[in-house]
Amino acid sequence: MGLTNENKLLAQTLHPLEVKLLLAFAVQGAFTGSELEKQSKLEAAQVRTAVEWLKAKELIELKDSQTIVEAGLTDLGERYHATKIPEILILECLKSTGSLPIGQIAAKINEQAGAEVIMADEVQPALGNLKPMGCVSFIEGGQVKPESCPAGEKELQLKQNLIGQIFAQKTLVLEKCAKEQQDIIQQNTKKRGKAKGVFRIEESKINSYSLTKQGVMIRGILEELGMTGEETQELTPEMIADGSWRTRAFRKYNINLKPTRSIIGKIHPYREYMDYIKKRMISLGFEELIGPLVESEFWDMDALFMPQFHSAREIHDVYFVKEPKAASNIPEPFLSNVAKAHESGVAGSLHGWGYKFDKDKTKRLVMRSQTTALSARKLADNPKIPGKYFGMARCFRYDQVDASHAPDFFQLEGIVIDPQATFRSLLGLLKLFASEIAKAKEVKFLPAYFPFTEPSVEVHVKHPSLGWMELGGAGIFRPEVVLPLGIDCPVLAWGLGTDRMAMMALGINDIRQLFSQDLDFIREKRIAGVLN
Amino acid sequence: MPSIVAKNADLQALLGKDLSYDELEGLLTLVKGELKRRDSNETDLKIELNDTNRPDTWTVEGIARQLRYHLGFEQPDYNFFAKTGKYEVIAKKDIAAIRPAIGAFVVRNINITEEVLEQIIQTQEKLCENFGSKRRSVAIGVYNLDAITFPVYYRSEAPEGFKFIALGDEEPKTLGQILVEHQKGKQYAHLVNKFPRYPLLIDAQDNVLSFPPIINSRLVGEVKTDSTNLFIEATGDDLEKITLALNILAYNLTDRGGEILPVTVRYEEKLNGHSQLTFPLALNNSAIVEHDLFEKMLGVKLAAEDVVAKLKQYGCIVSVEQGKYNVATLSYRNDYLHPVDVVEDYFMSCGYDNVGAASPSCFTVGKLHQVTEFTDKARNILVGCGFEEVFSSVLMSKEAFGVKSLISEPLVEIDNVMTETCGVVRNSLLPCLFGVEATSAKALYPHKMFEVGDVAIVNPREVQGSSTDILCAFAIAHAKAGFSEIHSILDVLTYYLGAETRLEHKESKTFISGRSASIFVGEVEIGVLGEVHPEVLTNWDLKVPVVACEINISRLNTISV
Repeated sequence: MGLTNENKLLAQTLHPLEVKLLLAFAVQGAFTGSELEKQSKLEAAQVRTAVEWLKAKELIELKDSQTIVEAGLTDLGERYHATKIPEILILECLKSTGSLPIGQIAAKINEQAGAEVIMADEVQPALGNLKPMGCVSFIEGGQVKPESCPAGEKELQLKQNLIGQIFAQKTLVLEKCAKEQQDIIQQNTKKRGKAKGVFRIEESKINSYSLTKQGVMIRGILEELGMTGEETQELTPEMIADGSWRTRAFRKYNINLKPTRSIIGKIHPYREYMDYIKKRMISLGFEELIGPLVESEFWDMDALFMPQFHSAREIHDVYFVKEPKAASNIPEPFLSNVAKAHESGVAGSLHGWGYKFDKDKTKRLVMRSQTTALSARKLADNPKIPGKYFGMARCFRYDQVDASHAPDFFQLEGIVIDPQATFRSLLGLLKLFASEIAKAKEVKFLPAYFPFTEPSVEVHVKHPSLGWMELGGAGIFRPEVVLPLGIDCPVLAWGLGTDRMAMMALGINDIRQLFSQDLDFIREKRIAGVLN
Repeated sequence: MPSIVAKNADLQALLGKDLSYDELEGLLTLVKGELKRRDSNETDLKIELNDTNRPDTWTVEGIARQLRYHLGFEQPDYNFFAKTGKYEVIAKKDIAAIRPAIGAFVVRNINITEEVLEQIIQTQEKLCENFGSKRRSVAIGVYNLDAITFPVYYRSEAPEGFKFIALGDEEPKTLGQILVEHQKGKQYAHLVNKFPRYPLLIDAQDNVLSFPPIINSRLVGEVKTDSTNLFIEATGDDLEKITLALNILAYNLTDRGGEILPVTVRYEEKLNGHSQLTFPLALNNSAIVEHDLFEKMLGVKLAAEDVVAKLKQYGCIVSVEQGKYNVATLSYRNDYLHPVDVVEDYFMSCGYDNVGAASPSCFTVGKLHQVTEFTDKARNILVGCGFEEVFSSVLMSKEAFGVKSLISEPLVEIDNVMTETCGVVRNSLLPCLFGVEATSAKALYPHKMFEVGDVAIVNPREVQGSSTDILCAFAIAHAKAGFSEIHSILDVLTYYLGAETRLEHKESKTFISGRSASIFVGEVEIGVLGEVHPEVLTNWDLKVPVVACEINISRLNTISV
């Protein structure tokens, strides 16, 4: 029976306190906390804890709840237990001395006891009690003398005994006390407006619990298994050494408890995503490029045949650097070649952009605005032919920072320098990116415009839930780009929008969160599983 | 990227065919257009056009024209270049130094409906703002022809001289007043206010047409739906651009049934060597393309007839001579810089999805840059030490360095700052870590974090005035964080990175005196570490002690190699 196995497991994984408490129950009947305390030999606090746990597991249930009135001792009452009440102290003292002036009674008592057992101001009220009982009388000269009063002494003794009884039991249930005891308690209870009292009256709830049906079953299983709650908790080196583990039973654990999540050393989730992309690029035969954050307009734009009057080059599109404003040098022959390409074109051109190339503007320093700058630098730096290169680098655009614009962002771009490269092989490469990087099965190609490629293409992929989305742009570098940099063969250029893919992988929709400074957020974010 | 709004019905009327949204979306690839709003209940289309060099496609008429070619529909007679006319504009000598280029044409018998007027205004705006660099290169004025007495003069005028009522004004004002008081005057003042005199377009009876490139006059320059004859001019600093802009309007208004009549402009000071030009002015957008180029770029053999047919279907005029194609377009385009541009027209005419994809066959060895490998090794070691990686922006506030972190090294600063939070390029990652710590007081302690990334180190000897270095910073924050704890991490990190380091006492305001050090490998300083100064902690509002270390990975890498 499945149920039995489940119950057995439940019984085995109970906490030792739970086991002890369950065993303290009889199969029938309701039991109060103090009864369970006695039965189980657990501390009151342990019983309370175990009761809550077992209630949550529905092994026990609340059967009855009674309000009871109990009498306890005040601090004064506890002192009277230790020293006896002042009336008895006075009587005993007077009996041993005969008579005393009122003013000396306290001192005499304390002297006899060898300790301060009575306060001077307790004497007068105590005498006030003793006098009507006929236990003392006042004589000439302010002296007090004892009288014989068996009934009074009995009454005093009764009070003293009651104090003792309550001290021993901590509290007494008021309604279970004898009538005369109840009277004494009522007379000597600290009440509003009365400075001192021997007793305090407390109202409290006494809950009693009984086993549920399930509880009876589990208790039965505990007995059947011989569990006592004394099973071994931890395996210690000593047990291994002395072999005592052989004779011990180990408590089984509840393995379904959720642990607290450990704080571990780990890669940032966005970096993890980028590491993955880099790995994919390498697997496709691309070599990584790196380059400077601060670029000259030459490498950032001019070498890419973006005319110097291009609208994307203005003050509201690019971050300019304050100091120094210009690069100290642009290497030749690239500077002259690029200038000529802009002005009048390259071999085979119909014409250039037809303006006077500004050799000062080309030195102007900007924050790299496109990763293509890395490709341009590589073309001028003896690239391998054939060669495949990629860069995943920070770029900066002069955009208002919002949910879709971070102050800096990453671009993934690259080139394929290959004498055999064609537009068809570019489309083939983009299909490969779509399947290997975006995991997309459907791809479509749309004509696009980039100043540095012709033809230019945008690749869109079908995302399983979001539908068609742009994966990136690509094209064949224009002759005006490659020839001035000394390359006379087709160069395929491509760029993929990885930020958006990363945001999807991380389940965020605000790009600024990629750079979140909140450790809790970073700890929570993950790339679930692996990206492949 | 310009986007335009057009009525679906207007586009279909210009096209001569009803299209579904899907069909339209497919055909828009011919003009590198994207349908941004496609709601069947909407009568408006919003189309984004991506070809910077084809401003003709930024107009609904231009889009329809390109699509008509593809669908094989008939085109209107565009041959307005052959016509002669009586209209004349005289560009006076004194305007040459201010805003030299002007061209114009006339359109007659055009039915200006609300929609036509809206499209003219939209085209005017796109050509001036996007293509004309915010009116610097091209500004266009459209006028009621019947209110003008020719010849029209294009001349300069003193700012405080002539008064006229500008469009949108009630009172006559001088040019100078318009620049200061009129909304358009304020917006475009920078284009003229550096000159002692401003441009003015005025007719033979001293009626002002406009104050180019700022604002038209109310008298002549207000076109309404009851106008049938228009005078259209463009001024700017670039003859070729104003020619193209005027041509696009002339083609578009022909598509709308208007009759284009030429305007001759006499330049008292020669413009690009011309003393007289008649507009619209034909442009030579043509190329001789070898058959081989199509095949080389596509990667398959092609039949010549197919190339010719596909180019014609894109609106090109093609003739074949000795295995070469002589390809030209009508004068609404001026975008052929190189024969490769013709090849793209051919590809677009075929449809990119139809040209076929070839599997890459080029074998190359892929690899990470060596410094990335080294950096990744450092990251792995720190993760093994239980550190969490954080990741911050490169652009930061200047205050985060000197004022808050007491870092005194110079920074690369941004000239055109947009917000102070992005005012400098970081030269240290420590403020990034302090920033994280300041945001993460509620995250369970201890905090052990690191960041690895690019910074710009100011160095006048570098060509760019700075070098981009990769730094690695790590920090520990908790109630008992101390020097020896961070030192032990540095020790294990550099051990596994293969470097022998030694420390030298270094005083820095960032760290507590006597509890900070420079890290050396041989004689090269590669970093710093120490207990962060309570002053810095207070500046960042950090409540627990922080110990931090930063090493220059790029520098260490060059030594270790």
